[in-house]
Amino acid sequence: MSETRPPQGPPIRAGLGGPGNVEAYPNSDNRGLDLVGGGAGADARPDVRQYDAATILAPETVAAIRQVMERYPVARSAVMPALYLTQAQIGWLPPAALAAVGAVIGIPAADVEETASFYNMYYRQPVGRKIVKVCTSISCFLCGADEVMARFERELGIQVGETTPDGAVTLLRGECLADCHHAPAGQLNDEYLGRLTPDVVDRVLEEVRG
Amino acid sequence: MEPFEPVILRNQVVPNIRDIDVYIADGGYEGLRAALQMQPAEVIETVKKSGLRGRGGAGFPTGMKWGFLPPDSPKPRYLCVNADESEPGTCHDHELIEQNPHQAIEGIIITAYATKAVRAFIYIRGEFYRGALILEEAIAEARQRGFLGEDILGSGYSLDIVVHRGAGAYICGEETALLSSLEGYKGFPRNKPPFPAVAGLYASPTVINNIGTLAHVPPILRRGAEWFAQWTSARTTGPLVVSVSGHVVRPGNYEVPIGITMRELIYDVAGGIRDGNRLKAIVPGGSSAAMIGPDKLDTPVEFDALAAAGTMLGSAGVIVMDETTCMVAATLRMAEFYKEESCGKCTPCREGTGWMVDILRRLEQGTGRMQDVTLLVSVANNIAGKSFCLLGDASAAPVVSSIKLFREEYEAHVRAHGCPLRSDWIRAGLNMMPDRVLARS
Repeated sequence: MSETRPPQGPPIRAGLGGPGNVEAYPNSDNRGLDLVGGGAGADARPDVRQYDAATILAPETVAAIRQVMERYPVARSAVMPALYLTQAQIGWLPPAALAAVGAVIGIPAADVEETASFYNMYYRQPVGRKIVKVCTSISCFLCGADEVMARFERELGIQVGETTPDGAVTLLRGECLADCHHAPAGQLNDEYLGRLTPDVVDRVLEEVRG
Repeated sequence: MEPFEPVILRNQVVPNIRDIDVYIADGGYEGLRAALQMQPAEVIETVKKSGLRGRGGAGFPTGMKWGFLPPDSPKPRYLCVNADESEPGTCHDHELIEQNPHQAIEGIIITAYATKAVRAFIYIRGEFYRGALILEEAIAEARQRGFLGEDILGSGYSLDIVVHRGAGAYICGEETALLSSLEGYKGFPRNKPPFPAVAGLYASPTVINNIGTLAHVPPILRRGAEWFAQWTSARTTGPLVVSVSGHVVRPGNYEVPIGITMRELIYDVAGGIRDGNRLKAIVPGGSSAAMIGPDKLDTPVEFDALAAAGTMLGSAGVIVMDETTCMVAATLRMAEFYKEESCGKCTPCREGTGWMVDILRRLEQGTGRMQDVTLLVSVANNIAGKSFCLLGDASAAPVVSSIKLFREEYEAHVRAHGCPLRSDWIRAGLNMMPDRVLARS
């Protein structure tokens, strides 16, 4: 049950929606895809059989990965950027995508999975179209991060680590986001939000629900 | 001594220094020009003479580190730049990268030239997405002006800088874990020796420096080692970039002359404790540094003085806690971080960080036992020094130091069957602050 067309994320959104990670590689012609876009419905367990390693990567993604490989003396070093590029296309990293990345780079799928599973910015299950991270490490904790997290949980009706049923937003805990002077700090997709005052939280909620 | 003006966080005094033209007008890339007039060994000598010590945490003399590269290895040399700033309480590299990227890039080019590196990699934490874009842009601008690429400024030296994004693992700020990650593997630390200088990235001779450290290099080359050493306290020289967070009036990143005291930093620079509260504890160097009490306020914020006070300057992330802070809850939060971020390679750290969280949590929730306090210290001491890398030691530091300073508060949690600082109890007039709990017992 394989699709012939590679899955695509939605087009780039302006403002806080933020650009996809793929823009970190300006040489790539794969701009305009969203890191967290295109995820399957949040509640639905994804049917990973719909993905086929042979067709899951868009040709532009493959080209971008090959370009990134040029930057390193050893191809395996391109695994992390390749995973970002793949995630920017699909929205998350189904097993077939890991195998496909391995095929492009020339290493076994298991090796790609080993790396992907170690880092928490690679999503191995579908995530919401937007991702809210609230930092709850010590400096933010001292400045009321737990209350901010509780408010997000309450208003979104989910627990930290979960995605809203409509697939709009995933709420995550940040482990020290290195924005301690703006404590309590947070991110919406890849953008820092500054100090999470009640006003900022309002704005974020509006943005993710919109 | 000249009146003090930021040297590293120039963005705080020069608007738009992110722009390469503004940076050049402020003297930018003159350090590079000066370096390229010298032999690489002379550049290393100059940095050695300046006394610059690494700002990433260990405070190792930077020039000396560069000197460790084997002179006759047939393999190419690499420079890895650590921009994986993740130490809780530390956010000054974040500001440097976003606001003054060219100074970091210039420092990287000079360092690569001095160490004869064939390529430089900036390992930047995944969350600094904007920072990665800004660095990429700065690299492209530098290349356009001939500061990067083939035959830099006619010197015959060529260099490329690759920006590599991490993906949310604190451990990758540890230098050998960073190398594993950059090679495309899990971020597992490696045992030393061999040291990275001998067998680092791709088993080649490798220099690893913090990005903040390298931003100190251009002004040293431009204005000289003596100029840099005008700020000296014990064996630390130069200006110090420090983050202050927590319960202060003005949290922020500050650049100060080395040697100012913790009191000056907290009360004069950062505006003192919020709401006029009393100071309870200070974590001086990111959460991996042992906490100290108000009695240490007159300690200079500098490597050796803080080491003598039983803690460390670490990553210069000062976390301030006022009297309303429950030390068990705060320590629990720090312990949770290390539990989450332990890479799982070494058993003492993987298991121990989990046990410390369990014990601290039951103390905070009111089901702790009196012997738990001793048990915590025992667990902590069985992690520290018994793992490959320093994450284990780091996880033990907040636990051991907070028990040392606030043992009675831990015991009060056991007696009160919960946190004596619980806000609902205080509101109900049941203030069970440790002194009162102790007085009653």
